[in-house]
Amino acid sequence: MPHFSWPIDGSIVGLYLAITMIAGLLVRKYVSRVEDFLVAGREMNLYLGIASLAATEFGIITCMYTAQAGYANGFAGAFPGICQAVAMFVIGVSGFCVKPLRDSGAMTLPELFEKRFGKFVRWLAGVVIVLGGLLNMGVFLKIGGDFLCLVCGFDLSYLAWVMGALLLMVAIYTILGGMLSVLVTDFLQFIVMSAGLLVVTVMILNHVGWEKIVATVEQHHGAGGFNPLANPNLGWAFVIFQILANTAATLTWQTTISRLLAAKDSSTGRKVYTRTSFFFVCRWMIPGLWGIAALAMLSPDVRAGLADPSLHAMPVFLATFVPVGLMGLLIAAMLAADMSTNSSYMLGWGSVIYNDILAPFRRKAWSHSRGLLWNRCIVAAIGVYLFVFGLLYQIEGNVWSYLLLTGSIYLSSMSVLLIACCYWRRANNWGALGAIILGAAVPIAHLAMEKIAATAGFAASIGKEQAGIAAFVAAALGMIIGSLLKPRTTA
Amino acid sequence: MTHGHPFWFILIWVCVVWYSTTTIYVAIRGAADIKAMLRRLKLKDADRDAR
Repeated sequence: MPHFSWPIDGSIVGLYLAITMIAGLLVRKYVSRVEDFLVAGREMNLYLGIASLAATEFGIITCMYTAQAGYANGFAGAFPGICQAVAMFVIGVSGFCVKPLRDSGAMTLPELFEKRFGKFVRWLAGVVIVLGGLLNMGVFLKIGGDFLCLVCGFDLSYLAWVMGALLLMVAIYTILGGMLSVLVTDFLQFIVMSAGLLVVTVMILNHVGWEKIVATVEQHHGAGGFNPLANPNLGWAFVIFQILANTAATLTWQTTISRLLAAKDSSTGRKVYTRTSFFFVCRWMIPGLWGIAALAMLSPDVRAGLADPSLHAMPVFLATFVPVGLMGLLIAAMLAADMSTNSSYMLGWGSVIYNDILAPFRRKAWSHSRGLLWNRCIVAAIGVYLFVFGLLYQIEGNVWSYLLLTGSIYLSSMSVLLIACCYWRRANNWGALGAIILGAAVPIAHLAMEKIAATAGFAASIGKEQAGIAAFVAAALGMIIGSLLKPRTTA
Repeated sequence: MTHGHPFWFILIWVCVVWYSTTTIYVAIRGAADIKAMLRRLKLKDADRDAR
């Protein structure tokens, strides 16, 4: 029986939701311009930035796919977190790409690209970013709903209602207060989320014990549970793809760089990167440990009875492991994590739609009130899309591979464009177009082949990691060949 | 104590200790950041109205 108690745990969750909603709605009065809505007037300071970035990059979806990685691959499954932490730290310290990006004063990546590659590249970059970002984010709400239903002991037939309620709460304060509400609620959500994550982790380490956790990994995964190169599910292709994709995400992931762009200067933005870097190890290690604990504690019969054992084992385990009272804290923490992620992602992709995709259609500058109205409508439309896509789309394979492959639609080309824009003088619009088209074509083709019965076997034999690596190679070749092919103009 | 896997044992405990410390520190300093940010936005707004 799940331990969720409506009077005790329900009250804790209700209190958290009331405080968050009030805080999110109170600050909306400070939003009077589009810049306030999209980048909080560029007034974000260091510690608020750290809280906001950490809260944004940890949602229920994160908890689910990192726990799935722990369940399916042991400690080796946490390797992507180590890659991203190293990338965040090195990029933050060196200022590689992020310093010129923040110093440019752009609100989004495509806005920077326009200065170097022209208006069409800006527009096309916006389309690719939104396509990859929305496909990626499309599964967040459904998996968040799955977790909440399982951990509270609800039947999965209530999934649509849970998804709807979650979306409605997030949409209200994001639509009204934009980035400012997102930052303030992210701060509260970071504290609640962190408290819940830490308490449950310490409980697992105490009650399940390190010895049992290690023995479980050894029994199910052998040496591959501790070393990704020794793991038959992972291997070299996985390691290379994780290094490429996590570095690219640190440079170009819209919700990550929006914290850099909202910072009051590039020095603050870089400090947010360096000081948040180790959090990316925590965000893989902590739920990964929960996934391993689920494997250790649930009987084979219970695991076999689950619709998707690797994904659903962790919430089913927590439902009976966490006692009444702490269950309220856990659910509040997970709601906090999910709300901060969904709100930032809705705003992140919305900002690209408004700032870059709709830019050619704004022949004259729009008034601030008209700009705000459009931004709010875009965020609302993304909310509707999330609900519909989440209910209809079925992921093939594990969640992290899907997220990384859909992210690669733009991570590959945008990271190549950004590096070339900042550091290669010969780069031009031909190269940029080549990188965008080739970088997007490979992962889209792979995703489409997975869904067509005749080609599904071929797509599976290639593998998501190899398709992802191919996307990066194709984007780099597109940039180099395209830029070199364009005749140089003489002054 | 580490059951043959000191790297992962140390890493998980470093995560718990670093994350706890950072949460407390960021909670205190972040609250001050929010106050300062709202104050600056209010001043900016007043400045725009005055022009």
